[in-house]
Amino acid sequence: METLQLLVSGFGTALQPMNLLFAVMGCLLGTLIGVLPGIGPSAATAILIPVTFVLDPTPAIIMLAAIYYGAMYGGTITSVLVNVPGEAASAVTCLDGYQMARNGRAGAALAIAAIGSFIGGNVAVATLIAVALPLSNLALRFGPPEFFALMLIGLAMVTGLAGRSFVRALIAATFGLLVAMVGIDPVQGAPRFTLGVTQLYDGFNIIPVVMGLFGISEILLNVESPLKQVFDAKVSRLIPTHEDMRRAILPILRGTGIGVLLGPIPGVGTMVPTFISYTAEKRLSKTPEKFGTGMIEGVAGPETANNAYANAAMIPLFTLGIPASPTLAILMGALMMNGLLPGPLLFQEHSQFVWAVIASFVVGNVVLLILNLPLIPMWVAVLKVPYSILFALILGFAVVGAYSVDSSVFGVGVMLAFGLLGYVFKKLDIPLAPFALTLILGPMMEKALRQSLEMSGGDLSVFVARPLAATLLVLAAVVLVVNTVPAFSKVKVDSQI
Amino acid sequence: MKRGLMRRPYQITSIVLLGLSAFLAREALKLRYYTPLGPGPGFFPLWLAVLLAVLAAAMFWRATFRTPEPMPDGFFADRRGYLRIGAVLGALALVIALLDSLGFCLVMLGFYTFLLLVLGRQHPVVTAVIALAGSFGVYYVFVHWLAVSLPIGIFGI
Repeated sequence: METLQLLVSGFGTALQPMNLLFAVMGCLLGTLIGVLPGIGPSAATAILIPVTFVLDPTPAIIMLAAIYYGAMYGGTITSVLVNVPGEAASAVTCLDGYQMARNGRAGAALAIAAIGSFIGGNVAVATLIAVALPLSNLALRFGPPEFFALMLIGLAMVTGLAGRSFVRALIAATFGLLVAMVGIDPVQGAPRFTLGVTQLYDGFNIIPVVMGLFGISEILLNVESPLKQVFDAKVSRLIPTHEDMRRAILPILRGTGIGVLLGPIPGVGTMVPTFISYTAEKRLSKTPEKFGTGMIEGVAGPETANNAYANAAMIPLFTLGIPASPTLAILMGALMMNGLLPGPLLFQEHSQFVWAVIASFVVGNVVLLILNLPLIPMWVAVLKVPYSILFALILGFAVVGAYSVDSSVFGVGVMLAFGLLGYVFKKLDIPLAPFALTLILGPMMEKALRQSLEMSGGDLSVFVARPLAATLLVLAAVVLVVNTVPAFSKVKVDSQI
Repeated sequence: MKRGLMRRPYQITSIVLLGLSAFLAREALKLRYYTPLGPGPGFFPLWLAVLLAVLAAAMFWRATFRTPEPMPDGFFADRRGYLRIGAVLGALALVIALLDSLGFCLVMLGFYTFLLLVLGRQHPVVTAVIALAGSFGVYYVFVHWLAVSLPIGIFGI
């Protein structure tokens, strides 16, 4: 009952005209910046923090949270319309969302993404309200062995992302793991594969890597042919059909569950829930071979998981003071700059602020849906621009995006190199999804494994002695077997990535 | 090379991957393999290099001794296509080389002009408008509105 009273009070604050205005401005700004290829939620949030310096803490954080959501949806727009992921988690949306756009169904893809994000986001906020404390207590029990087992589940998903060739998928996955090894060893601090290049001590930043892999490679493929319109933007309707909604509802529900369950676990990152959702939808589909050709399930599930995760990731931030992603780390910095220390005490000492911000999450999700659905024609109009202009704009934005990651041309160089690699991979039908997945999971898994063994003095039984870790390991084995058996069967899935 | 089959591309790819694996394994062996408390920094890279070599060998075997996949249409671009790809890559390389010295505005002005006028065959007026907006316009927005630093060159712009 007390929670309800606090929540109602929070809505009272969040719905004040000025706070509502800042939420709307945040959504618009976030979407606008997020649409720019390469400038994802982290960069968008960091870039726009100074805008909030003049505001009081409550509207400042409301606006920043809205920027966060808006930037994530902006990344979705870019993924669907021009196949350039606005942020790492949007990369999976490129797989089917872009193909839907090429089939003249950009409106449906974006609408379903918005609806799914709305549903997933609000369910996640409701979960935050109801179960924040119990979930945080469970997450507190996760140690390195549990994290390692969780990452193994993610790696096992790679087999589900294989296209026509299991060997080529594994090559891509191995490549991703090797690229992830570049930089300072996370446990002992030894430089690996840096070749004496100081910029590589921090490893490859994921943003220019995925921009190159997915975006630049696509441009290189397109410029092979004379630069005429690559696709015709036939947007016959913006409202999804009954068939679209029928096919999307279960992926949305599953994506919600995946995002909400993984959100409170620090360190999972935004890519894991989206890839898990995509793999799950492909696995559950009666036509898995069609994934990669414009399946709405391939957009609905991951986008819902992405936003559900983003909202659920607020749980450890507010209750424990642990940011679950780089963007939330930035939000945490903004909170601290406003004199508010995230953690259990925040609920006790600043409950009015916390509940106003939580209420603003609901408001932000509503605002995003209301704003973005009518604005879809504006985003779709991008497709009408001649490709001979569009490709230059995309390349230019990509340069700016890659540069702005570290304010260094090195990022542009990384993007170029991985763009060339992505082009070669696509030519050789080596799927990119496993590459991107292992690029993220690899370092986390290695760090977790080595920390686990340091904890146990080198004893591998630490993974089975802990019930949570053992359960997750069994789950990883099940996922591996379930995904691998069809890969060796005579009937191969035929999805193009 | 038999035209229309993917045998040779995959054979070449697997040889390249084998060479890469050898290089990576050599680099990994320079790192500490194992410590009293568990794997060292060289453990994972070495085994990944070995795995890559195994997969490359598998790719070579499949390409050589199994029925190769047919080569997809358009696998090889025509000469003009490769020239366009080279032009895009060259333009990006020039951006990287000149961005810090000549500055964002001038370099991106030249970048857009080249892409739109030469590759895109756009009208000079359209090219000029987009190039100016994409260079000086973007610089203004990013630096003055968004407080994102972009390089200024030796000419002060």
